[in-house]
Amino acid sequence: MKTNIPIFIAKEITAGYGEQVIIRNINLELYESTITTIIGPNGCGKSTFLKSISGIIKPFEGNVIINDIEVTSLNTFELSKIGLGYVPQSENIFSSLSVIDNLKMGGYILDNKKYKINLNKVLEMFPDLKTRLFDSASNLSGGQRQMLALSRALMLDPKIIMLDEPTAGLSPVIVDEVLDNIISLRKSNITVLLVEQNAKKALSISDNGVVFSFGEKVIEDNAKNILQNKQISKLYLGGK
Amino acid sequence: MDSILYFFIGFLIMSGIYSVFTVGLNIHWGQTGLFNIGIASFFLLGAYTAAIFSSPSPSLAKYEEYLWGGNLSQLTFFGIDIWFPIILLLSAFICVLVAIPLSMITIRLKEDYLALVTLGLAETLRIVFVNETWLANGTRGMYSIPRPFDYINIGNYDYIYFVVVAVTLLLVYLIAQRATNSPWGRVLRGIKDNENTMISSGKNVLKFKVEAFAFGAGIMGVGGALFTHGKRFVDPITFEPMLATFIIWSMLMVGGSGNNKGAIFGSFLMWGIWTFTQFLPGFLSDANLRFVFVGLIIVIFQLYKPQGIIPAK
Amino acid sequence: MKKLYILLDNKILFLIIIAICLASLLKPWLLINGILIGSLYSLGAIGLSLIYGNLKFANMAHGDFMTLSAYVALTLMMFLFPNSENSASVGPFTFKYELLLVIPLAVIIIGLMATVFDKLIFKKLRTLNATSAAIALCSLGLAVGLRGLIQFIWGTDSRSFPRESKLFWDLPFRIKIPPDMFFCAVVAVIIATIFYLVLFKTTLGKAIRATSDNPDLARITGINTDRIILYIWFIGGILAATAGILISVQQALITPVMGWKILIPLFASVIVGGIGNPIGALMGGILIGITGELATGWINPSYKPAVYFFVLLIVLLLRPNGILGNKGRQF
Repeated sequence: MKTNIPIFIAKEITAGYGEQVIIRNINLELYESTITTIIGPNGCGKSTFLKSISGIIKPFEGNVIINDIEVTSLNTFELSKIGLGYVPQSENIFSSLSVIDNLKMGGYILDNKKYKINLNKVLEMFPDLKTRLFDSASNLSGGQRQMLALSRALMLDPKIIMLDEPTAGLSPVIVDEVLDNIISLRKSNITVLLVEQNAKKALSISDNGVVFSFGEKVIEDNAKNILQNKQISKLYLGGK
Repeated sequence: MDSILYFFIGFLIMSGIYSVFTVGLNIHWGQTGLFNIGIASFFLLGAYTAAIFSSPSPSLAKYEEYLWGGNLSQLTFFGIDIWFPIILLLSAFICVLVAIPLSMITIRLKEDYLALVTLGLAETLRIVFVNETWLANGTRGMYSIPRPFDYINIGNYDYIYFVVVAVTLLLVYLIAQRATNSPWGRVLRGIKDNENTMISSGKNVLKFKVEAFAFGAGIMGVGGALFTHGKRFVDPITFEPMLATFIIWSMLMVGGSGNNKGAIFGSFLMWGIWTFTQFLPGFLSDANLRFVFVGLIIVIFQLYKPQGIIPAK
Repeated sequence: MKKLYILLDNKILFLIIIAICLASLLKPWLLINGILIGSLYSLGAIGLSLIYGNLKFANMAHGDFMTLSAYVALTLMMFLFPNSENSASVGPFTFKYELLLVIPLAVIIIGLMATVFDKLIFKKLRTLNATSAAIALCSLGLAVGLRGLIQFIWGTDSRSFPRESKLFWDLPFRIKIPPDMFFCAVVAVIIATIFYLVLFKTTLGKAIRATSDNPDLARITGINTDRIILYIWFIGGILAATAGILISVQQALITPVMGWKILIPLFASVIVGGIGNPIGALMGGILIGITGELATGWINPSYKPAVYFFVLLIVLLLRPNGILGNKGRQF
């Protein structure tokens, strides 16, 4: 379901680390309840882009606007209050804390009532975690970690959630599970932005696809069109 | 006029001696990133080695009063001038001898652990020399340490010693420069900048660190020996951390961590401030404010100018 | 070389434990002394462990925080209660009731001072991504500066709190216990326990651990990490301050170098117990104390600092992650 006004706009984002510029003049708009996937070769700046629009690093140039509010200059910890969720690729859980404490931190800024409600919602979605609430997060398997990382982000009822390679290093069965979870996010009216190496599978569940190359956005189109485009397939999807 | 010149020469001598220490610290921290806050250990070892080996052994008449260490009486027989460079080398050697096993044991440790170990070592050595009075007279200290080249008669001996210090400093500087600009030195800098890259390129990082630690320690030992012969007196209190470790750190931070010229510059600057602040009016000349100043220098330069005034190339 | 280590490792530890047990049987009063003195080290070590574990650097200025708090408490005491020389002391202890009123004030001052140092110095170092060693170096500069300041303001003579001499408690086996030390030991256990509960059972404690585990993720989650770090400094400062005052009560002496002098045994205690673990710091302190006191039964007591140094060295070589089987250091 699309509305006319994008709820998330990234305008002319140029960002990098130190003196090195990794991405240039990226423009992206996200609409409510859609899944958008960014694909591209390693090192093309996909992760950097996510970091620059979710407050982890400040872009050198450009703006980020969420629901008509300019958020580029906000501190990272303030962005969580605006309904932006972000799950990094690695180190995305507190491994020295237990599972329940991870979720507690996820709901750190919530009042007690909201915390309990969201905790139940999240455990409903990931019943696997219910059985391991008091285990140390470091003892979880790869798939369970991803679930915990995602649940942690969901504790804050984000309207937009950004995931950096959520299926990295997971077995194909678990990959499908994770992707199913992402589909159900869209059902809950959450907007999802995904960066993925598993390009084919990710695009198959997405509404829109974006292709990055050498720090620039080269293609943006309907996900189905990208999947069917033979040229793109050969270059970025491992060919047919 | 004469006394001002005298005072100034004394200032130059001490600055020169501290420059040697600072060059040594530069090898440790500036070049290799070794966090040594026990400079006093090598200062002490160098100083006591020089004192013990250049002092005459006890004569029976004075036996009840003193318990000297040392037994190379032929040194005084020949006059220590021929042997003075040997004394310097001996001081360096003893320091290297201690530095090698110490660093082999601790070099695997993270830098701040090394700091704690060097700190503890300095304190331990001090206690040993306080308690083992047979070594170096304990807290009484050793007096009348001979002056090298004092048969040269040109009036004020200090001019001679100034030349001694200047020549030694020049030699130390040239050797250190040679080392830091050599391939060996470049590996050290690589270790400081990015140890992991060095490891993955196959270098035996531990070996280099031990070598760097020993080299710096040897230089510090030479400084200790120069100090002893300059002051002609040494006791354990001389090596309390303020003047034997921290001020040297402030010298390196100010002058330029990572380059030997900066180390020397920083020494002269800081020793100048240390010496000349005693002429300030009123409470400003309080010695304790100098402590505060040294601390402030270390903090401010770490925060705002970690390369110091003279940046490394 | 490495194989040699592993072979000797357990044998050395075994020998050390046997040595300690034997020594305790031969001279039990030293064991008790060791436990009591050790608890003083524990007091200092808990705060140091907090900062080392969560802010990830060795705070060389910790000793001087302790020293400063003793002087501040003394000054408050003389200013607010000038007649305390003549007032009553608390029970079997040497200190006066007024001190109990002054302590909370003094520790809060030091706690706040610690947060000021964070704002002025350590925050900038964090934004510069300074290494742990560089931050420790800065704290060394701070330590030197603080000591100079203390000597400038209060002079280098030693002082003490108004006190009344009290008898030791006489026990069998030649054991004599100064009541003050017993008080300090009890306080140390209480503080360690409270602090452990705070760190592991309260939300603030978990947020502290989360911030130190993964600061970027903590921020994403909505935790204001800068504020959490200020809390860490405040609590660390309070702990150091308490330790400083109690130690100077116990040894009836306040000198400008008292904190600096025990930095090595403090660090040894922290490392033995596992960096970041408050109960570990408690046990570590007691272990260090025991080792030091037992050693004096056989070697010249002036060598105690050398004993602490050797313990530190051995722990760093054999069990750098602490002997409590902790995950230990993660940076």
